[in-house]
Amino acid sequence: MRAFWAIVAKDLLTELRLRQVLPTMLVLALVLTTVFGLAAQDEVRRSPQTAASALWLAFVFAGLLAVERAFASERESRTMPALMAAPLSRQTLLAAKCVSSGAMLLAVQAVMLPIALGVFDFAVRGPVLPLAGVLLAGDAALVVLGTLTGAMVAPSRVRGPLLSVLVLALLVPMMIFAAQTTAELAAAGWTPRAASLLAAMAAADVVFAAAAYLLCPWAVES
Amino acid sequence: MRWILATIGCAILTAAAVYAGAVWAPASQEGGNAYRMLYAHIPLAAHTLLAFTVATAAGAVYLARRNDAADRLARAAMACGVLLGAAMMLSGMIWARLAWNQWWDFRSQKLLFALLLWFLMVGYFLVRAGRPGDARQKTIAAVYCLIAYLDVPLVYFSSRLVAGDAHPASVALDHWQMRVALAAAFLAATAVHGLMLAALLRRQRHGVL
Repeated sequence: MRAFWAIVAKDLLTELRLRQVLPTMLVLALVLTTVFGLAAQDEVRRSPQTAASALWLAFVFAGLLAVERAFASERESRTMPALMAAPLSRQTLLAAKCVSSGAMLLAVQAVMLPIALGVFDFAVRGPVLPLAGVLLAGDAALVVLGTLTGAMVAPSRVRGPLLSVLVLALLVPMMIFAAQTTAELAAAGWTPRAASLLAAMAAADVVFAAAAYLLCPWAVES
Repeated sequence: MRWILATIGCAILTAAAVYAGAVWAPASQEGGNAYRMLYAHIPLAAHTLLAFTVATAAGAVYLARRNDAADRLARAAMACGVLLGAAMMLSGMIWARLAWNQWWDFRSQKLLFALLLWFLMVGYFLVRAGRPGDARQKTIAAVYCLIAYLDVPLVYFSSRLVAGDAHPASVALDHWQMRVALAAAFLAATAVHGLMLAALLRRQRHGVL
């Protein structure tokens, strides 16, 4: 457990000092939200469906930047062999990378959400807690699948574009769920449909996490 | 010689199935003649899923045993899946044009399901691009295969979530000739799939693909 927190702290501290991805993530999410806002006509922009979809697309692209750096940065600074030699399992390493990428994504979302609410004229009805649940459930899938795939393609020369395509293909269904649940919360509040959608997302998260746990000894390079 | 015989056999079976579906089976009451595309579409859809399943199973065997033959099978099966999936969507699009007067309808959950599934299968070849024969690449391709297959139920449910049911749920095959034509189509698709898989495996063994 100490190794886990040490890696998380190292990643976040490095990011705070060097500011490699966080500003890019934030600006990318802002630019995308603005572009989507401009692309949609007035009446379309006010539909919760459009707003939720645009918001999640912005989050996915911002999140991709974070998960790509997770393992690529270790390769570039040639610290990967040291991590491999350290007395920690691949699972611990992957989990730590997921948590540090997830923390960055959450930081971006904390800034983006109020702005997007303004751009899209988007109101959250009912309690805010379910919305936080949807964000966490969507982020978990994005971070777990993204970091695992990022570990797989880290040695590739074209890892950036490759990771985007693979993660998007894998994540489309989860993002459909996330956008639908967010739209439902915005349109009708905490309904039984929203609850069942959120439960489905949580179940998918558990499956992806279990798969990542089992497959990461092969996915993370030796 | 075996290959020539197998190819001729496959061609005869396919020609017979096409004849059975396009000419011999009667027109459908509700679907007219456009429904005949079903004889190509349904077997292709079933075989696309089968190919994906075989590729995933072979990928799992590769991870467990590091068996190169399993990796070759996974790759050949996935290539079959991509080709059959493309043919399935093409046949579906022609059917859609005939039945609904449009090539594609994003309101149809089955079309969306098929397209998302196809993207997942194409992703496998992006993982494999470059450095053929590299052990690490074989490993990550197998890992990708397993994750992508796990995604299939989610793809299914998510496409139901955003799209309606514009797709015909079923066309009643109420005449015995229709059922025989469908069986012939399945037989022909199985033969073509088998031949394709064998040919791809052979090419890989000779290091062509």
